Amino acid sequence: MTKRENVSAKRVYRLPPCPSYDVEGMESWLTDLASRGLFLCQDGFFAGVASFERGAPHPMKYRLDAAPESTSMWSKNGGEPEEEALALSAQYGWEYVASRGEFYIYRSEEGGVRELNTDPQVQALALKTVQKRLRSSAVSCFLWAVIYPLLWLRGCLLLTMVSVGSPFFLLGAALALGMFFRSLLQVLHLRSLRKKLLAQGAIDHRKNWQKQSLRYRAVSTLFLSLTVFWLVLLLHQWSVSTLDENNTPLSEYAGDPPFATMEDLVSDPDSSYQLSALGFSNTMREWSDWLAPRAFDWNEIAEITLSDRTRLSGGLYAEYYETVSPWIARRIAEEFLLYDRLGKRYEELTLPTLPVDFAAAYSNDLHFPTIVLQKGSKVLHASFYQTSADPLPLEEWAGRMADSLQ
Amino acid sequence: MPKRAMAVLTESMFYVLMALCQEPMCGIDIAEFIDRKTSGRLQIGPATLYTILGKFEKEKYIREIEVEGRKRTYQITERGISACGQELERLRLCLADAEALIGKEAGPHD
Repeated sequence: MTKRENVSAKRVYRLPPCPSYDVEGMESWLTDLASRGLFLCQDGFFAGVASFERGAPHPMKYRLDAAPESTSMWSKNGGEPEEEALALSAQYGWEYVASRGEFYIYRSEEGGVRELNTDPQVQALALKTVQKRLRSSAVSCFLWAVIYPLLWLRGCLLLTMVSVGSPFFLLGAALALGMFFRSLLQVLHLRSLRKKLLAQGAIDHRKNWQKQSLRYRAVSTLFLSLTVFWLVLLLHQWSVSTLDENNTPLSEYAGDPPFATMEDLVSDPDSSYQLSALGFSNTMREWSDWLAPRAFDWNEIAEITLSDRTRLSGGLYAEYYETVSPWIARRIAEEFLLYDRLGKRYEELTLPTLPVDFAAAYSNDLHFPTIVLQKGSKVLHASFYQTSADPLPLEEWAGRMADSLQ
Repeated sequence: MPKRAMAVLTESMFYVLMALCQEPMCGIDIAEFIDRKTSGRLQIGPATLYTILGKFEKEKYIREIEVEGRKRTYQITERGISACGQELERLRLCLADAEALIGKEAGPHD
C-alpha cells in the first residue's frame, strides 16, 4: 500500500502563491504542502483555486512539464498529456495529477526516481514552445483588448468615457491593460527561465515561493474581483440600455434643457407644437459623469405649425455635455467631428461665423445636417433633419443652437 | 545554445535518432534502447523524450507510422538520417581534434 492511500476524502482549498508559469515556485509550493499532509487532487485546479486531499505528511516531489500543445479542452487530446507519455512516466514512477496554465503537473513519492526532464536544452525547447503560445496570446490580447476597441471607437476615448461613464470605461481600460501586461509578464518570465536553464543546466525545484506569495495572491484576488465587478456593471448597463430604463419620454419631461430644442428654432409665439406619435423616439436622458457633470441625450420628432399655417417638421437628435473644463469640451467636440468624418458619406457644410469657440457642420452617413459646437466647457452635437416643404436653413437653426450655449 | 535549435543535437536527441536508425519504435522502446545501449549512463526522462519526439516530428526528422492504442510508432526520415550523419561527422571531427590536441595527456592512465 502506498503512503497516499491513507488520504481523507475531505478537501482543502488553497490559492496558489504564484502564477502557473512560475515552474520553480509551483513545484516547491506543492512539495512543501505534501510535507504538511496536503496532496493535490486529480484535476485539482479550478477557477484559479487548488484543491487538496489531507493525508499523513510525507515527502513528495512535484514537477511541471511544459505542455507541447495547448491545454485547452478543445485542443488535441483534450488538453491532456499523450497516453504513451503517461505510461512511460508511470513506468518511471511519475503520476500525472493535473494541469495548470500551459503546464502538466506530475508527482512522485519515490526517492531516487528518474527526473521527468533530464536534458536542460530540451527542457528549454519545451519552454520555448509554451513561450511562443503565450506570446501569440499576448498579441491577441493586445489586439482584442486594446487595438480593436480603439479602432471600433475610432479613437474617440473621451467621447466614449462620457457616454458610457468614466468609472466604467477607466476600469475596463485598466483591466484590459492589466490582462495584456500579465500575458507579457508570462512571456518574459519563461524567457528568463529558459536562459537560466541554459546557463545553469537546471532549475531550482525548491525555490522560496513564500517571498512573493502575498503580493501575488493580493493582486490576483483584486484583479478577479474587479473583473467580476466590471462584468456585473456591463450586464447592468446592457440591461438598462436594452430596457430603455434611463430614458424619459419628452411628454413627461418638465425641465428646461440647456440648449435649443425644436421649439426654440422658431420665433413665432403663436405657433403650435406637437410631438410625433412615433413610439421609438421622443425621449431624453440626463445623466452625470466625472468628466461631464451635466449630460443630455435628446431625441425629438415633432411638428410645429406657425401662425401663417406653414409647418416645420422633422427630428432633432442632440448630445450635450457640460464638462469640467473647456479643454475637455474641445477634445469632445473634435472627437465628435473625427468619429463622423471617419464614417461613410461625410460631407462638409459651410457655416457662418457663430459666437462659439469651435463650430463644424457636415452631413453624416444618414444625410442629416449635423453641427458640432463648443463654447467654454459646453459642447453640443446635433443632427436636425426636416421633412417640411420649406425647411429652416442650416445657418438659421445652427445660429439658434449656438446662441443657446451662451 | 545556437540560434537554430536543431543545429547541434544534444546527446539525448542524438540517441533518439540513433534508436530510430535501427528500426521504427515507439517512445517506450526508444527509452529502453537508450538505457540498454548506454548501460544506464544516459537516462532520458519521459518529458525530455516526448519533447524530442514532438520537435523531431515538427522538423520532419521522424514521422508517425502507426498508432496502436496508446502506442505511437515513429520512423526516421531521410532528413533525420541526414541530421544524424551530420552530427556523427561533427562528433568525429571534434573527437579527432581532441585526440590530436589533448589525447596523450587526457587519455586513460595505467
